[in-house]
Amino acid sequence: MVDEEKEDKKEEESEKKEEKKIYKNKDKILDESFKQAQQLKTGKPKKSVLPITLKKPFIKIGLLIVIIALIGLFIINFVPFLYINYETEDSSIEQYISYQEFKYDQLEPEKIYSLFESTCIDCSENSDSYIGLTINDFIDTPKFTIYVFYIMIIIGAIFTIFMLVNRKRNFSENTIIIVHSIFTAFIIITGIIILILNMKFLAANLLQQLNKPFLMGLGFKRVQLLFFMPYFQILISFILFIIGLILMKLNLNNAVDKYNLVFSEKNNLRYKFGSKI
Amino acid sequence: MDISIIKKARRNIIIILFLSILCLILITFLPWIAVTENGSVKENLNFNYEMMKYSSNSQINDLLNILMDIYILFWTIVIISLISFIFIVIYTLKKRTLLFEILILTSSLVLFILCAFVFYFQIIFSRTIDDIDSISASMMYLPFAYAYIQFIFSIFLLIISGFYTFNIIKDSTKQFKSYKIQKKEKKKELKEKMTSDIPTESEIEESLKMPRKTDSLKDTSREEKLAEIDKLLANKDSDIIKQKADEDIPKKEIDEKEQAISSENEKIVTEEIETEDESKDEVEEENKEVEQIKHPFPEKKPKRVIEKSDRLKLSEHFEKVLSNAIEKKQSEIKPKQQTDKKIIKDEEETIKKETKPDLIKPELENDTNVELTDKILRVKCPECSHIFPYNKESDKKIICPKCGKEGKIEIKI
Repeated sequence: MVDEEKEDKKEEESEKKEEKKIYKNKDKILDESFKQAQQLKTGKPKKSVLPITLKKPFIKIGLLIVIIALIGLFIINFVPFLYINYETEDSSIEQYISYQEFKYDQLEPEKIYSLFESTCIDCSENSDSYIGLTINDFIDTPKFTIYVFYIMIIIGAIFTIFMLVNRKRNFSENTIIIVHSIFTAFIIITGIIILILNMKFLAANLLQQLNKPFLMGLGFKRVQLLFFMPYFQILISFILFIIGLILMKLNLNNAVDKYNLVFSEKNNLRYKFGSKI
Repeated sequence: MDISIIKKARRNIIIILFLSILCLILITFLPWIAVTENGSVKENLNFNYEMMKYSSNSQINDLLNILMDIYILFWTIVIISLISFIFIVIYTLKKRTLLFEILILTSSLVLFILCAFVFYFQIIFSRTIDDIDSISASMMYLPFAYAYIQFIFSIFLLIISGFYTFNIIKDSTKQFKSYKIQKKEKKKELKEKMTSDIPTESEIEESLKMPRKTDSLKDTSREEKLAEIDKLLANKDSDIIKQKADEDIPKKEIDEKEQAISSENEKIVTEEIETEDESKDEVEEENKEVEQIKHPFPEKKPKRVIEKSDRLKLSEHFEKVLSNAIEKKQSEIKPKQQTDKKIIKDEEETIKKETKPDLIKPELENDTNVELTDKILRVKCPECSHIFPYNKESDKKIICPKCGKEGKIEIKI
């Protein structure tokens, strides 16, 4: 008897469970159909999209210019100015000479001086230097390039400050483009100055080849000159020059695009329903 | 300036800048002259710009002076091209004024002149080299000298600067012409505006002359003409007085309102009649004018001169009438507004009960609209200006059936 009662109870429980399951399924189906009906009525449910917050673009060219100027200053102070390798009848020398050695007149073999300023009386009446360089050039040009790099740092800093101020004050795009174009003009000018200051060292290599007989006449059997520091300066100036030209093109393109744009009044107005009928 | 011209100028100015910088580099880099030496080494000694500076030879110094001029000219070309680039940017972005156009034009002209000078100095340089026996141009290969490289680039520079200036001059001449035409048109418009409001005496005379050609009355005397002109002028004076009176109303309104409220209401009725009479008078005057134009020379009448005292009386009378009319209208409008406000308040309360407090009714214009606002409203879409019905109770958001723009109802009472 007890077993039969237990079985009955179990059957009842199982029936109840099945009923619950059926109810749950029915509820699910109802919910789904209700949702589908709602969707059909109102359209597809929109996904909750977070509002897009755009930060103002920060133009980092000013910082780039400052970094380039700092690299230039580093090159002047730490990269050797000149690599010289020459052979005379008596000796042969291979040496790296820095800007500091030229500055404080610490050149040891005096024969090096004769490379730049010849003391030969019979050699030439027209010129003392055969490669277009004097000792003063080795002192003055790095000095001037240092000044130019200082100016570059100042210009770059001013431009970055302007861009930082722009983030808070919201200058118009037109004023930003105008300031940008003035900045590019400064970049180009500084680039040209550095280029022309250091170009004579590159020209010296050409003259070294062209005026070789005169150098031999001074007593040199073989001369090899490499101006490391000026080469790097020329590279930097070329980079500046290219940056300037690209910025110039970009600014002009932006200006032309702005010229083409005509803003309609609708963009500035907010419309709401319920206006005058 | 046209956009096509600006685009051309943009291209040209970049090329000019690039070429001028290249020429500057070449001046410092290239060997320019070769001097035959008769010392221990009997060879040609090549000189570049820097080497020429240190030379003690006077002939080389003469050549150096010319080369220095070219060098300075190239520097100025670089700076002016950069300045004109900034001018173009400013012109395209902000100030499309005549001043900036002139500045661009002058800078382009200066650029062209400088390039021409460079070309001229280079010819002089080559001629002076030819004149001196001991000095020759340093050769790359026998027929081709190093100096030719720079010479070719400077010719390119001259051509491009020529194109640049030509384009700008061509466009600026058009612009100047258009500026002149615009100025003339503006002047004409201003004149027309000035003359259209009040007819001048000459116009009145012309209007009088016109019918004379058609009419049979050709032998009228000069005095009659003058009398008629005076009449028309007198009418004009009365119009001016009315205009002045209209301007003075707002100042005196407040004071006269208080007086009018205290004064009897009976007066209003009588003054109403007066206003009606005045309007009738105005119509009569207009009819008279038309008659005058049709029959310009009626019988001779004595000249009517309006004195200052008469004008003041007229203006005072006109002000009184106007103020009373305004008050009467206001008294009529007040009860209407009160009823409107009551209806709007009731509606607001119902909306507050049903929906959130942010949603509000549309603008109500007439009493007929109030009846409609019980359930269905008319709504105009701001996008496509399509007017469609809207059930106030059913929807919170509205979607335009024509363009699909979504929106909410705005509070406007």
